[in-house]
Amino acid sequence: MNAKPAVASSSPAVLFDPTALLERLEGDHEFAQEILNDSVDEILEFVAQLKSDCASLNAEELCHSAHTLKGMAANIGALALRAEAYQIETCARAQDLEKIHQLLPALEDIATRTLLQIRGTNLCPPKPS
Amino acid sequence: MPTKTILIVDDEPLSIRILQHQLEAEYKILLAQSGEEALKMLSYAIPEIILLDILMPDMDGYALYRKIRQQPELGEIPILFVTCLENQESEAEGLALGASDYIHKPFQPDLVRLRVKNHLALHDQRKLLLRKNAQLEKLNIQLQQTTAQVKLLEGIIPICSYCHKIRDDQNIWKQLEMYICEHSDACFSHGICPDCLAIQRQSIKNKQKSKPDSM
Repeated sequence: MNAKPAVASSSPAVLFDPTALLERLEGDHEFAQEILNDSVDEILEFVAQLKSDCASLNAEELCHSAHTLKGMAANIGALALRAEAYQIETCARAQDLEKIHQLLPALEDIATRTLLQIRGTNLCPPKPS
Repeated sequence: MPTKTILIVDDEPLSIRILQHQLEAEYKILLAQSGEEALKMLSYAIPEIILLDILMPDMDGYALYRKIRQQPELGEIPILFVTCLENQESEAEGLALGASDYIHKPFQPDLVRLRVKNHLALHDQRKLLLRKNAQLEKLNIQLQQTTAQVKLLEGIIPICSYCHKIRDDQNIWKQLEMYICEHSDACFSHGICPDCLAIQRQSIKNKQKSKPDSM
């Protein structure tokens, strides 16, 4: 089990904090692992959605996607992703699509590294043989 | 055994599952991933409390809140908005709308359960107060009616010195018992008092004596 938070090299925020997720799920390791596994697909979908919304210059959809990604990332303990999604949400509210274009690569990078971290995490304690 | 039901409305599946995990030991959980789905669910199931995400596609949390509040049978259900910690500036909008409270993402299990528990308790107390108030109002109406009847029998009532009929407000002379019946909840049963009985007996005897063939 990897219980130590990983720190992103380019961001001061913690990439992924499994202890926060476990606390949120009150020590239910199996359920936490299930949530983590499902979060992988969700993160990929959200990143793709954000890119698509950005390409179609849809600030409203961008705002919604970034907001939902932010909430989901907060719940699973993906703190850097949460912070990045929040920035994009704020810019989308301000209709600042140019800034979002600049921010998206950073979000993609953080998402990739977060996913790497999540995929390498096993929250289930080994079963006694 | 959970007895109270919570409806969770959120378009983000992982958030729903985490909230459900935190609450399902104490409550029955209904889940909806959109405003439309929530409204459909509310047409056949009435939960004790609703946890409602604000930012959802098609129908956002505020619009759903308004639709719920338009339905009298759902009007009193406490609704707690779900939002991210970063969006606290939007809380004024929800609270001004009439929302009971806010629950923040990331969900802290103890806080979530305490907020739900407190709002359910408040709602129960409010329902109890409303019930008591309705009872008091009913009693008050009864009391007012009784007081009105009592008042009608107050004051100076004109009564005939000979036959004891009473003159009512319309200047009609009425039998005493009829007047009392009309102005109170009293009823009369007919009997005869010992003095009148003696008089009646004497009267019958006198009549019999006066008849020539009574000998």
